[in-house]
Amino acid sequence: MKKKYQVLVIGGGHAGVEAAAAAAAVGCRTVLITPSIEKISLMSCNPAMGGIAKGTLVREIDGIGGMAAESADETALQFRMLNMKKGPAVWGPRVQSDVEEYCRTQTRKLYKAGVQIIEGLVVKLTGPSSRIEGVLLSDGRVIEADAFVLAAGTFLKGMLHRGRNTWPGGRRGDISAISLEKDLRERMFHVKRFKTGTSPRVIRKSIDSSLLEEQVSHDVDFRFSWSSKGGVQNKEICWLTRTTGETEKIVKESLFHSPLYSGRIKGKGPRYCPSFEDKVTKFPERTGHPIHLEPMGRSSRIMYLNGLSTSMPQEIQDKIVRSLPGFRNAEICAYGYSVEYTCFETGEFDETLKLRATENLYVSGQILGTSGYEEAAATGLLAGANAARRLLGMKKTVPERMSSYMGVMVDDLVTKGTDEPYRLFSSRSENRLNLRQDNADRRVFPLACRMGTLSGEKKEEYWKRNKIHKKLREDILKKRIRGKSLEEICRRPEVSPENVGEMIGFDTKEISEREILTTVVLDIKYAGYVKRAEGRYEIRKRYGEVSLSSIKDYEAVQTITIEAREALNKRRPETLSGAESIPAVRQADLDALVLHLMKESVSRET
Amino acid sequence: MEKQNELIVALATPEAVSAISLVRLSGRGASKTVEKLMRLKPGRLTGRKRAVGDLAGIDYIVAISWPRGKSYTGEEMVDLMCHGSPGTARRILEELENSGARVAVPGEFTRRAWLNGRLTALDVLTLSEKYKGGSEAESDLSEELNELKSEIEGLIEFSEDHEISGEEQVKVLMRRLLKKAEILVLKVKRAEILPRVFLMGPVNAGKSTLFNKLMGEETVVVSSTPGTTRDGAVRTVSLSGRNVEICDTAGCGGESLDSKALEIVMGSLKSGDRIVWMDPLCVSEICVQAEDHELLKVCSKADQQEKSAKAGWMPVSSDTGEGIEEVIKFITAPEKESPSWRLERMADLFKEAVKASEYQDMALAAEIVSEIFREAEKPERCGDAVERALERFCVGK
Repeated sequence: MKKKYQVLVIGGGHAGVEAAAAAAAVGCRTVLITPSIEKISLMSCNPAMGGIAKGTLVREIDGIGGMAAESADETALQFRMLNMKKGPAVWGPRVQSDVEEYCRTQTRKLYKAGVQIIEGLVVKLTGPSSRIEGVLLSDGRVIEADAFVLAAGTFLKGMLHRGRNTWPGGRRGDISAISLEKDLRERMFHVKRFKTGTSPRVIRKSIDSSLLEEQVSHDVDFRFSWSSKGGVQNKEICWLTRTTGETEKIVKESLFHSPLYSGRIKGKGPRYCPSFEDKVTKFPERTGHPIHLEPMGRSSRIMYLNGLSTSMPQEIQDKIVRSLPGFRNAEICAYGYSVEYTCFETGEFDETLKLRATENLYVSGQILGTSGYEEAAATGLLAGANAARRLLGMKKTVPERMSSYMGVMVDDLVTKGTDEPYRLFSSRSENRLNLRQDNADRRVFPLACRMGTLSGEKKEEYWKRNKIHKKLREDILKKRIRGKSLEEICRRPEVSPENVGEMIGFDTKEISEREILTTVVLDIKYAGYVKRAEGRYEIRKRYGEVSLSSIKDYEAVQTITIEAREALNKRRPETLSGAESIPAVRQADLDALVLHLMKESVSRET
Repeated sequence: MEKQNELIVALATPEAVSAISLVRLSGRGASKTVEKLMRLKPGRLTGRKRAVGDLAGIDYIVAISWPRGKSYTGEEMVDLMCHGSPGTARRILEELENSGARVAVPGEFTRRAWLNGRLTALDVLTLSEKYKGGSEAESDLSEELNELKSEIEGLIEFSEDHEISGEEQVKVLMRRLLKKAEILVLKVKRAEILPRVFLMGPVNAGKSTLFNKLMGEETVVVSSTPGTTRDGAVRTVSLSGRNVEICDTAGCGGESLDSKALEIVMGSLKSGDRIVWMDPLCVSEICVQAEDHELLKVCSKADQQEKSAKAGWMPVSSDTGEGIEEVIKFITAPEKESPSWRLERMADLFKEAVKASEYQDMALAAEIVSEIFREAEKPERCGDAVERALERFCVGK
């Protein structure tokens, strides 16, 4: 019998909504189940999208037809380009969004994409693990489907901690998915516990902003989505303050209250998005940590305290906050807390994000071990699209490591794994000069076409941009100025894309055309590095094909290190990629092994 | 090449009267050999141990053993500290030789350290400097490179979140490294032996004039009668901070080809020698194997020519000084893959990195620093350079 739904998505967070929309775009009847419709795509932590590498990821999501970029643009209150002085390859666009508006926009888009939404709490999967048949809701309903995407975020046996208090919950004010977690454990999936945390929110009126530093939008025309019209406008002001020595003192004296340091939280927390307790413990000599005050929405009465994630008891949080300049009379309306949750072990899922032990259960978002809205949205998109494609008998689509942060992230999660919440960094890519925010659409377009998630309209837009790109590139490549080719001039570090625009008389106010100019010039600038990086990667990829069986004893290979020799003799990997995965074997050893094998084959031939 | 892991021994301190002399023993069986000579229990010097006692009735010594993977060479190793008289040390060496150890060749310990991954090529190159009396400061380049790399990455990833104001620090570090690399280039250049340079070409092409010009003084009889210079003159000069041997030759080529002179020159030419081939008319046939030599074709007496030099020929005039700079550049250029060549490349890359950071492109600077790193680590490309550097080490290092 034909089921009503083909793809069923569990969870309505940043991963879930992208998964559902992508499955629908590929052509499946899709349903999304969430405990509360008004919290679809809720920014449970800071009210912003993007950042270093993350902002680039948001643009990649837009390039393959995801929703996050457009919604962030539509609900933007202010825009900042991070890392402006660190080079265009690592510029990190970030927008502050109106949190409630973002939820509404995403929900609207979800309906528009043809996704059905059901409010309910999933307590159990039905059918055998190898092939899930449906889900059981807490009200007794059973909803069947052919494929499933689990996007439960921090809800799987979510435990909230603040001071000495611990209570179940997926997020402040929300229920914890305890029975679903139990069901997954009983089905023998390998899981682990991670933790993350969030900052207190304060009442705007209780802050004396005259003592704070104002932060407004950067004066750069920007929007995440190539489909958005016009750049992000500044609608709200953010503020910056710094912790005083007093703040650190309070934290140090109260550390024994913190569930993180009293040993009650055992889950691994994110090293790079640390709690304030962590910052104080790891850098005890430092003071003046920056704290950003960000509005939760347009003229919202609530402000988020970015940089002050803590799970101290309420009275200590009051003290901490009131020690900040301008916060003497601050009133906290929601206290910070930590959340501990269950996620899947590395190795449980494959590169399409399908659980290996099943035929039709996909996972995405934080249960993969990631952290961050952007990472969640990207994995949701990939899981949703692949679930739908497999169902329709189409080929799997996996992003490439060298051409997108999506590819870097999936490859890292699947092959390397993570023992703390995985956050994207620009340095995780070996092709950073190519993985830029300006060219994200060009890099992922082939993937988008294979995946079938990009609308015809957006493809049209792309081809239009591509035409301008082609023309511009031709113009630059053939132009000579005083005997020197413009191509050569482009490579000089002092020459910016704007300079090149002036040289060829390319004058435009249009954001996307200026962006194209940037892409063309930067591509020329970095071409040599990118080509070499890709060459190295190609060689590394072929390691899997290089057999080591001809080496009987590594003692005979004199050019590798002793550590490598011992490890290789013990582990005896079959191929070079096996050797690569051994920690004691360094890149230089691999190079030396390649040389050794080459010499060996030459001497055998002669 | 010597066998890997073969037991080698050498005196690591100068052969002179001093408080202590150090005899170093590395390779398979090092511990066992010393245990036997000191009559220790087997296994007494396994791992990181120290033993004090009499060694074969020669001297009362301190033996320190290092396990495989943890020693300087990366092999099983024992350092023997004996009283510092040359006679004592020599007798200990003899005793160890009788027990099966071989006396090491210069740089052999360090070569093993490199092959065993204890040192990177960059370490070896800079070490050779250090042991020739260079200052210590230049030997930790690779450590500083590491530091620089992590500083830049921190700056890129976290400066916005946590306000690490490391930008100036990175720039300072980078400039300091550039300076060090440049000093190192000069030092290595001074020590390095460059290929010989032969001035060749037809009779009366102005070879001797150029030779003199390069010497800065009149040392060879110069006349405009063809064929004055019959026997080659050889001189080692210092040009742009490098010592180079320059050979002036008798004319060989052109119309008045002197076959005997040519024979003499060809007989002394070795593969790798550099040749400056001079001909004012740019017509002579070049009578050397091009693939064995680096060759610069010079259109000499350029100031007296009516026509400009042919393509591929460099116009040079010893009288006006035209082109002399280029000739010196050719003569003093570092040999490909030589230590100075590699260090110069690294210095150039540093310059690029500094420039990128000045134009606010840290991401590019980071990529260039990675390239410097790879340059320093690559075993196949630096093999020769390391071998060369090792040749200049003393025995026992």
